[in-house]
Amino acid sequence: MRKADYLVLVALVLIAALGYGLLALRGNSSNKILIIKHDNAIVERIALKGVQAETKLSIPVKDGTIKIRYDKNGAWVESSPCPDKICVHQGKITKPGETAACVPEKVLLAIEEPAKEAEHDAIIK
Amino acid sequence: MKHFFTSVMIISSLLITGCFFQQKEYSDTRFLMDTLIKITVYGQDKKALETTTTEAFKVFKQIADATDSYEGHLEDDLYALNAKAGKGPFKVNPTLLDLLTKTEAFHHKQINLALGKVIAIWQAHGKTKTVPSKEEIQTALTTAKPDAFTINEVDGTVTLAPNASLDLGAVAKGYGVEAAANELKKHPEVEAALVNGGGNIKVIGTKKDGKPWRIGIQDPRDNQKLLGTLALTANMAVATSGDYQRYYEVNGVRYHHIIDPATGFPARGTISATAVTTSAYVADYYSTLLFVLPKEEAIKLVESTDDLEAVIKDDQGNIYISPGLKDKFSLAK
Repeated sequence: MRKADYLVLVALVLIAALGYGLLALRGNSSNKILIIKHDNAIVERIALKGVQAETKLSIPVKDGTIKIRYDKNGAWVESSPCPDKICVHQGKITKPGETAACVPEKVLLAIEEPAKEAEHDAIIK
Repeated sequence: MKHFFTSVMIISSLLITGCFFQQKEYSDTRFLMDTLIKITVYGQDKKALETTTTEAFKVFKQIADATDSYEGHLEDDLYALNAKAGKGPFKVNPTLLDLLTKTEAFHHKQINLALGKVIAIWQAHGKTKTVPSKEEIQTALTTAKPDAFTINEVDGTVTLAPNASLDLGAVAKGYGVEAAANELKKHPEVEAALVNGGGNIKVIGTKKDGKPWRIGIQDPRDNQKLLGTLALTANMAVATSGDYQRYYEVNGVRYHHIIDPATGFPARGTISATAVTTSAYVADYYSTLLFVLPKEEAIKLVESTDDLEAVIKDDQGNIYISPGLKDKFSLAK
């Protein structure tokens, strides 16, 4: 085996290690739970760890529809029929304990840390 | 050494292609039938998964419209049928006809689809947090006798007795979940899927890790906790009926939404009934029935019915787990 072969070998091993590192990081994005409430009732609980792509969720409210988007890192209100749009301006919430609310339409987004849902594919309520 | 080098090359190529063909997930949640319906699909082609999910929601929406007793959507839906009570045969939507025919074929008197008038009374009292009188309920129950409606499958008509009113709350969501799942199955790009709507779940195929789907069942008295976890294998369905899903309280007494057809009052004794079988529609039917039946009867029914497993929790805290679920259901600690 020539010196160049060894170089290729080392390069491949490095690429493989980098790939594994990236995969491990992705799979490890903590056990954050996104909770969405409407009129004080929880309408959705989402284990963000399992979210692989940006997902949209529409909630019918008294003045129309609130459009929410979320991905594995957090969630944000994309649009709302409410007059002042505070919820939209709040932007993306990503940390446990953070909330974004649309008070006129009684919709709340919250991120929490506990983990029991992350161990399940679905919760039957 | 040369062999080693070749092996590394092969393994690396496999790893790289593995990344290219990684299974993708798409999920969408919508409000239908007064609840949240979530469809999650897995496959390679994201765009196709999105289109297919939209198709499945269309199927669900069509069933939601046909079975809505509160608002008219179609000229031959449940709302239209209820308005024709006492006016002779009425040609109904094929979906509605199919659901009524299938449900009547079970012939169980503790599932009564003609409780519309009784349910309307409970809903009105729920708004004012009051309890209806026995007389009020008895009067409404007279419209829910076995002759309240007749089906003519050949003509596609249903005849409602005067003042009778149908309500399909016991079966419509499960029927919708099953139909949405069947729509997903028609599309080969869907490798696996989970349809979750209002206490009803149907899974299609196997997760990419090959392990069973893990379904948490809510603790009926603490919404932050689980009663347990169910391992669901490919193409199975589960439904839970509980007294905690929709209820109001008056003087510390809980008045929930599952009515015992024998009394017209909320069924007592059981607080959570989960049915596991192959169809989401059948699971929905049995979860309601197992909830309403006295526990001993419910257990007998489970143990004498093929392809039916159950978890039942009563108001004394006793939990029954059917023999077929012994190694599939684990109680939360």
